[in-house]
Amino acid sequence: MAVEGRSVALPVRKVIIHPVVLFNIVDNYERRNDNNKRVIGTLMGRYDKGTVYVTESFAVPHQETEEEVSMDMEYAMRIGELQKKVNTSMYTVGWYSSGIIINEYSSLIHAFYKCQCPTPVHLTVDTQLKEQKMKINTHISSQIGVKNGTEGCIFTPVSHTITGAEADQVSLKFFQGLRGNKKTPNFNDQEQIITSCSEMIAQINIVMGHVKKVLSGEAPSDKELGRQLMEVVQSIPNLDGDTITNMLNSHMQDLLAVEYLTYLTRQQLAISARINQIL
Amino acid sequence: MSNVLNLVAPSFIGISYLSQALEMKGLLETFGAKFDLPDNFEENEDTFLELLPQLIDQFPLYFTRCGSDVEVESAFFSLISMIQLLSQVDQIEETSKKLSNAIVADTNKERLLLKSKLLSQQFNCYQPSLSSTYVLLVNVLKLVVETGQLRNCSLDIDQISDWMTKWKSDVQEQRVIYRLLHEAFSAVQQGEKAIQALVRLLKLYSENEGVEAKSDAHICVISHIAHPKIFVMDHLLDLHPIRALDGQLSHELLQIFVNGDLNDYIEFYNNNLDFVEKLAVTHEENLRKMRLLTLASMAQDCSEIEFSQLVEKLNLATEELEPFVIEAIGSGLIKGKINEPEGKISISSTINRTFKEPQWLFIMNKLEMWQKNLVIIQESMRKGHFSVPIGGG
Repeated sequence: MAVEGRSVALPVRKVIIHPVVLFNIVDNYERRNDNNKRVIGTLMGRYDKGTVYVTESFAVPHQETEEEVSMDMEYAMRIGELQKKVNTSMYTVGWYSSGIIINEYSSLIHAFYKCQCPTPVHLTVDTQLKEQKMKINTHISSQIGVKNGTEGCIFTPVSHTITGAEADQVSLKFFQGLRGNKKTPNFNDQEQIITSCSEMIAQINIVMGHVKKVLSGEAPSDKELGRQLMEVVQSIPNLDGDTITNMLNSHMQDLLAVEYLTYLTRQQLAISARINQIL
Repeated sequence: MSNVLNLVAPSFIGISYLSQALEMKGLLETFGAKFDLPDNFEENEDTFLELLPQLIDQFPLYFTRCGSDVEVESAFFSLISMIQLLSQVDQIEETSKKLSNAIVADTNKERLLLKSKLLSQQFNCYQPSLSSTYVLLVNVLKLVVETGQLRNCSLDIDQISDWMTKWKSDVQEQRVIYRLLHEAFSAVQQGEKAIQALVRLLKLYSENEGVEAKSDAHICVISHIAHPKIFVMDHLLDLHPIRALDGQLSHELLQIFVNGDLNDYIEFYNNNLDFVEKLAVTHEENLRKMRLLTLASMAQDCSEIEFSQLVEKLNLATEELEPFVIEAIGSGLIKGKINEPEGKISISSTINRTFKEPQWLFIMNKLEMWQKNLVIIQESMRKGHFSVPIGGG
């Protein structure tokens, strides 16, 4: 796509962004050189029937002054090629920049990416947090001007959503929990389960409150909602309290044994390493 | 000039907005457009304000006569970038509506796809802050209906209804949108979404107005019955336009699909042969659906159903039985297992054809059990808290 794609511009109607990309951008911004006002980089992903999936990104060194902008195109292209070697189904789909402002330089950089892919997407992330929420925008560009006249370009917005896999949610939540904490807490499996349990219990309480209201006639009986709830409760295993306690106990003992044995092995290895050192 | 919206769709061109407008004027003139400007106009904002509406008026002419899609596109975006430079929000709203309407009013049937693309992108430039975007959305939808393609825009019913709340659209406007959405989704063959839009439309009619939407209600009932994957229809009975159908054959048929069983349907069919034959759905398809629904009802009452019962109640041959049950499970109507040696099926759950108090009670009980179990898990996790027994790590 990147090679033969120069000819036809493909329609883009939606952009789906993976959260890792946003993490990358924020990280890139945090580590920027002091004299750089913003950072830019390449977005990689795939294109499917009008939807662009952005799943990966890397930073590209660049410099901007009052008079001129320069970026390391060679670097951008080489890293792009290497990425493609790692994952052959991944293409360059556009570029990102920190800050929500799109300026003249943006149109120059965009022109470079237009040579890499047919309809590059431009993602801007407000890393300075000018508003309470981190503003994220996606644009595509179109040419403006008339035939035989001056040419220019316009960035028009496209809609976007941020979607991660379910497994990502766990770690994202964990990161969010770290906000404001300077110390890194232990990532303990059991505590995770305990906290998820209390969260679940609290949420079930909310749902139960609503169902009670429906049953007493205080809230309207919304059939659609009811059907969805039904689907949820039908998916939980039908177990009574005793069975669960038994299951937990037996599995718990296995787990503890395994944990203990791994600990023992680790100690033993450490001891033998020390002994080897002494000898 | 200030640029209220330039942050939303910024544009860059090396010349002033007036020169940009004049260049376009020159181009349109070569295609035969006439402009009304004083001969010795001054190069200032007033001239620009006078010129821009004229450019928009003359643009459809260029659209028809210019051969190249790329050139038309770039001229169109040139207009958008100029509109964005206007200083008053209502000026922007008025001119962008004007441009959008001019494109749709052009009856040239060629290049519908290009039109659709341009208008979708124009719509994106304004959403969802301005109320004029309502007009833009209507135009976008009209073009989707005409082209039958959704290549250039993504339509999300929930999002659109959110926007309408923001625009403070009145009931009439909302009806227009939902009707268009229904037509658009039908045109792109997304039956399920088309039906969803139709239901939203019918929800907008109050008790007294129900009669007005009788024909829509009829279409809604029939498309629900005809759709091979929709089995649950009891929510339709709450809608006023559908209540207004009471006493008509389509309402009676709907009642059967909500509450009745196979025999009810066959009786209805025998009494109203003409009516069923004229429907958009065949008798065979109706039979198939009624069989599945009857099975769902049976599954609701008992957790095990014998093959012989099925054969008798559903009027099926024994060899048809297995594919039938597989279909029922595959379509999500029931969940369960076929117990071949004992000649029965065990049901673990089923969709509820009607959703009333017993179903809510069931949910309540299940939730209570779930919560209790979670408490048990939590407790035993706490008790089993593991600390490394020898020394420190």
